[in-house]
Formats: sequence, structure tokens, C-alpha cells
Amino acid sequence: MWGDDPWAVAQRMQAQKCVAVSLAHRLDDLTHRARTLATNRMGKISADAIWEAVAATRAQNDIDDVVARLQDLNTFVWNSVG
Amino acid sequence: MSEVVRVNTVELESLATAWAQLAHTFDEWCESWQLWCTEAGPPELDIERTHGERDVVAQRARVIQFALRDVARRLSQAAQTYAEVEAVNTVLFQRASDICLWLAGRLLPVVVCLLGPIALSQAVSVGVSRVLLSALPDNLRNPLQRAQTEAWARALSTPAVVRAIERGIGSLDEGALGAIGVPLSVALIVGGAGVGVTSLAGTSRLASRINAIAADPTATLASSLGTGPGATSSIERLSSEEVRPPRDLAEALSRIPNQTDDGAQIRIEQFGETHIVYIGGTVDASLGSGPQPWDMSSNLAALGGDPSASEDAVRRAMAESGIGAGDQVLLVGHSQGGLLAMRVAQSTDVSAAAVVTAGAPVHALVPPGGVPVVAYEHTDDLVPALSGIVTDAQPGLVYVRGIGAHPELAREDTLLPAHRLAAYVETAQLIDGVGDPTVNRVRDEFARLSTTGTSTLWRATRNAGGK
Repeated sequence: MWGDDPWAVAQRMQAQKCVAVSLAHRLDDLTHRARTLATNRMGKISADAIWEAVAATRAQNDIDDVVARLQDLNTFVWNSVG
Repeated sequence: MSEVVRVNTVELESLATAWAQLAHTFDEWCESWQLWCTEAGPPELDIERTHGERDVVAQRARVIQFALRDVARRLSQAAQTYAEVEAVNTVLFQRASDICLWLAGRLLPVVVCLLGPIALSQAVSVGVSRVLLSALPDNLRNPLQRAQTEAWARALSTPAVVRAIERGIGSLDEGALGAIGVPLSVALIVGGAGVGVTSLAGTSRLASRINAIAADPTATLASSLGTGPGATSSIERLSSEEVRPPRDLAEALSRIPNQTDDGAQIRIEQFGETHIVYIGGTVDASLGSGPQPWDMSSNLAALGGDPSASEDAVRRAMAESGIGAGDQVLLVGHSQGGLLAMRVAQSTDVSAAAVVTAGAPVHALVPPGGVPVVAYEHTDDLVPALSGIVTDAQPGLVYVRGIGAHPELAREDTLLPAHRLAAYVETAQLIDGVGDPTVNRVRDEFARLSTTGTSTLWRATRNAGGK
């Protein structure tokens, strides 16, 4: 079969690698967007003390957490893709 | 300290939407990743390590998918809750203020009896001191008068006093109802926080009409009957010159006409199909119907929602400048000019693209749909506070707040140093509000203007007898 040809296998692997790199780049972009959104601190939207105390801090902690997870995943994917 | 403050939750909602979009994009990425994992499956590539790593990615991605959706949902809920809490807070504050002023009204006879003699003696001493002051030579009188003005300026520019007036002014109607013996429940129902029969706008309108009748009964009666034109002005073109568009909002504010512009109250700049209309602030602090349209009569009429002589002048200058219904207009106004800018932008025959106000009493105005509005306010400026507290949602409007009465300005001979246009220009230079979506939209409108244009100054005079 021509598909077992070493050249064809190498080409296929190369193509799959390209897709993986493209996916990693997309994840890069996504992580960057998340990081940008996360810097929009909600404490600055309103000076209201109640809001800052009750909602913003809790939500901001979760946002920081999800951004950190995305960054970890991004690093992991890049390591995995090679 | 300066800051950009939103009085609605548009920003928070847009943040929630952005996170929801991000969650959606991540879902798509996860699907693509899964697809790649399935398709990249020839036996020779599926080594043990790769399988393990893909599982880890899939597992971590699932956690992130859930967390992103959760963040978006919680932000959306928070925006809703915040809006509700803010609305309740506003109503509670207003009601508390209404009750206090109603009580003050009820107790007015007692207050007059108790404090009347003190007030009378104070008035007498003020009168006597004025007489004595006028008898002094100039070199002694001027420093004393300046010290007196500075003392008043300090009192009127105290943020706590400004906030108290802002909260109290919306309850003046309840105070008046209390003074004439109307029960509290009825006062609250007919007041601004109730059905609004006696609201701040209503009170201003009533005062405006009483003032109009007192100043010119015949013309007011003719206007009320529809046989007269109401308050009108004549305009006169003063000068024209070539200009470049303003580089930023601070420069736009600095182009608002002031007393040094040969008495002009309006400046109109044309850049291609777009016009910028700059409207000055109050010139004459008196009531009545004098020749100056930028007076307190026009302020009362504009606050009450009635047409005023100054608004008529702005519309005439716009028409004379060839501004048609479809032409884009950017409106920039200081004080009364800001109020007029908002009123002009609200009319259906004007295609407003953006509004910038400085020290304008616009708290009770609803911005025209879709038009971005940037309102500069000083926390120590009494004039914006005269429109009461913000009770209704003002979508598309962002307040940029700072402190206006810097020591060097306070030394100048003015009762309201924080209200000066120069102070607002300085604030706009210090805080441009970049990063805020509404401010950015307004800046974009200015950035789109062609490189050269024509600037024309207009001077308006009130027509006597409503002619």
C-alpha cells in the first residue's frame, strides 16, 4: 500500500504536527485574550465598597484561577506538541 | 484622585458577554483538539506517552470549560444583582432624604421661631458690613472682599456640602409640601420618588414659568396660547478661521467659548460632513428676560424640559451653519452648555454622534439611544449636583470624576472654583479615560475628523417680548 510508504508516513506525521502547532497557537491566542480580560479588574468599574467586598473579589479570584489553568494547559500542549 | 465611574452595569454585562464568548471559543478549540486526537491515530504514531498527554489535556480542558462557563454565568448574575442593589439603594437614599426634608418643612414655623432672630441678626450684620466695606478705600476693601469670596468658595466646594445638596435637592418638593401641611404619605406619593407629580424637573418647570410670567406676562401668555413663539434669540456670526480638529477631549473642552471670545456663546467647527458644536456655560446669573440668553432663566427652562432662549440660539446657529438632519454632529458643552448639548442630542432632527459635557447638571437626563456621552464632573462642583442624584439608568453615559478646586484656582476671584472651564480642561488632561469603551467611542468619533476645517463663533441675544 502506498500509505505505508515511509515518505507518505513522514508527510502525514508532518501534516498532523502542523495541525497540532496550529491548535497550540489558537490556544496561545485564547490564553492571551483571557489574560487581557482578567486584567479588567472589576474593582475599577465601580467604587462601590459593597460591590467590591461581596462580588468582585470572589469573581476575580475565580478568573485568576481559570487564567492560570489556561496558561498551564497552554504550556502542556506546547510541550506535548513538541 | 480621579476615576472613571459607571452608574450602570453595562461594563459588567459586556465583561460577562466577553467571557461567555471566550468560553464558546474554548469549546470550539476542545472540539478541534478531540478531532485531531481521533484523526491522528495511525498505529505508528500512537505511542504510550502521546496517549497519556492527550488524556491529560482533555481532562484539564474539561475543567477549564466548566470554569469559563461558570465565570461568565456568575458575572452576568452579579451585573443583575448589582443593578438591583443599586436601584434599591438609590430609592432608599431618596426616600430618607424626602422624609428629612418633609420633616424640615413641617418644622419650618418652629425653625423660623427658633432661628429667625439669629438669621435676622446675621442679615443685619451682613448688611452693615457691606456698607462699611463700601466705605473703605480700594486697597483695604479688595483683600477683604477676596477673603470673603474665598471663605464662601471653600464652603460651597466642600464635597460633603455638594453631596448633601445633591441628595437634598430632589426632596425640595417634599419639603415644600411638608411646609404647607400635606401629610407625609401624600407627599411621598406625589413626589419625585413616587408618581413624580412634583419632581425636580417639575419644580424647575414651575419656577421657570413663574419667572417667565413675572418677566414678560404678555409674551408668556401668547406662547402658552400658541400665538407666540416662546423664548427666542437672534444670532450673529462673529468670526471664521481655519482649524485642525481637537487632538483629545481636553482640547475639545478648551475650545468651548468663554468670556474672552468677544461675548460668543457658541462655536461651530465643520470638518467635511461632520460638525462640532461647542456650547458655553451660564454667563449671567440673573433671572428675568435680559438680553443675555445664557442666564438662570434658560437654566431653569432647560432643567424643567422647556425650550429656552439659549437652546433656540444653538439651534439657529446650527441651521445657519448648514447642519442638516442627516449631518453628523459632535456636541461639547460646559455647564448650561452641557445641558443644552444633551437636549439638542435628544431631538430627532439632529444626528448626534457623541456628546461631551463638563460640569453640567445632567443627572436626570436620559442620553439619546446609542449615542456615547462622556460627562466630566468634579466632586467639589456644586452645579452638577443641582440635578439631584442619578435615579434612572443612563445607558451609554460615563461619568469621569475628579477634584476640581486646586489651591491655585481657589485663590481666584470666583465662588465656584471647581466649576471653572479651565479646571475641567485640566481634569480632562489628567484623566483621558482611555480603556473605557464609552470614552474610546467618543475619542474615535473625534479621531475620524478630516485634517482641516472651519471654525465659526456665534453670539446670541435674547429677543425682547418673544419676537
